[in-house]
Amino acid sequence: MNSLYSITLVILLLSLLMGVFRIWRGPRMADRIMAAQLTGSTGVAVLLIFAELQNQPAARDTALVLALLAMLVAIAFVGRVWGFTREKKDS
Amino acid sequence: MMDHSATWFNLPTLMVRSLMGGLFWWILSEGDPSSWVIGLPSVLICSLISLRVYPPSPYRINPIGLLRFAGYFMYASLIAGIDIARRTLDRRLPVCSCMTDFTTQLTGLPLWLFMITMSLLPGTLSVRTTQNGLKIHCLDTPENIQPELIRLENYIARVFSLEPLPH
Amino acid sequence: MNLLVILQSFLLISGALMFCIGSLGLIRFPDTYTRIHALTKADNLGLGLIVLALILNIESVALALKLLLIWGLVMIASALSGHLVAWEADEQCIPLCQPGETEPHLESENE
Repeated sequence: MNSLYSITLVILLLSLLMGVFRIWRGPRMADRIMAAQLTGSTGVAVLLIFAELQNQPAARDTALVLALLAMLVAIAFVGRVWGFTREKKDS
Repeated sequence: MMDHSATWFNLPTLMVRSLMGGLFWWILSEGDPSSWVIGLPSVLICSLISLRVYPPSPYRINPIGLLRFAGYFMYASLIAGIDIARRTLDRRLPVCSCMTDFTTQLTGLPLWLFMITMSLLPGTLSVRTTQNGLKIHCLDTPENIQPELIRLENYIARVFSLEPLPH
Repeated sequence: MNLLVILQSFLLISGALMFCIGSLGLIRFPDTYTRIHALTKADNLGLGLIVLALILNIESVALALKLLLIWGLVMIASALSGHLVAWEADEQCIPLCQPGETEPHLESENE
């Protein structure tokens, strides 16, 4: 069972690597935010499996907080950072 | 002062909200009985504050409608994932990026639920609200999308015990 | 090898592969809007499958509900942020782009 969890973790990290490629490539801010969102949900999956693999129940609470943070990052980014660059462009 | 408090205090709503809060605490603390020393007061205080800030909601949730919606949602999001996998793994990349409009009578919380769930169902993504409906981005031709959206709209209307919506 | 382990391995591996498909879609799809589609839907299903696999060897009901709660939270988060990014992209008139076309570049955004 433990080796199965490890294989799953490796595949998840591979998926994260592909997401990093999109962050590097861009071309727009929107694509980069979506890749950051991918980091959030993959991170939750990694933490949940980690909690099971290492028998660390606290990792589940970390996953819960990470899920909330990923949402806040996207909302804050759309509201503040991106909106700000638009105002700059308009003026 | 008494008159003022009577306008927001509503015992049935308070009990429902406290029960929901208690369930939430029980899940978060993983059923640890000793945590109720903190949990019980927090839940009660939060329910009282929520009642003071948000008046009882005008929507009547229909439990059977909610269950049927949940079942449909699970099934449709499984289909959505398989659909995305099929399109991504195809060498020709059969994707058609287009915008369409959808007129709907839903407002408020039902509209919000409609927009959120639509983004997880096959081929639809809510972009913005317009004057009499929604602007939607779809991965397929709009004609294939419309009947699916009407189906979802009816499921949501049943969750909130609304009348069937005309189209 | 009993049936439960086989079911669990199937759910875990297909869930992780679903994440990979989401990332692949993020790379392959032609424009911002279609990439949002790929990511939100594939990640939602991927996490759902992994959560189901983990629930299968948990005895405590509260813990199983906690995992479902985390899944629900991620689901709302990805749908909400997908919608917000699509809304902002539409606000900025980011153009649609079909497969095979090259995406027009915005000079100002690439510094």
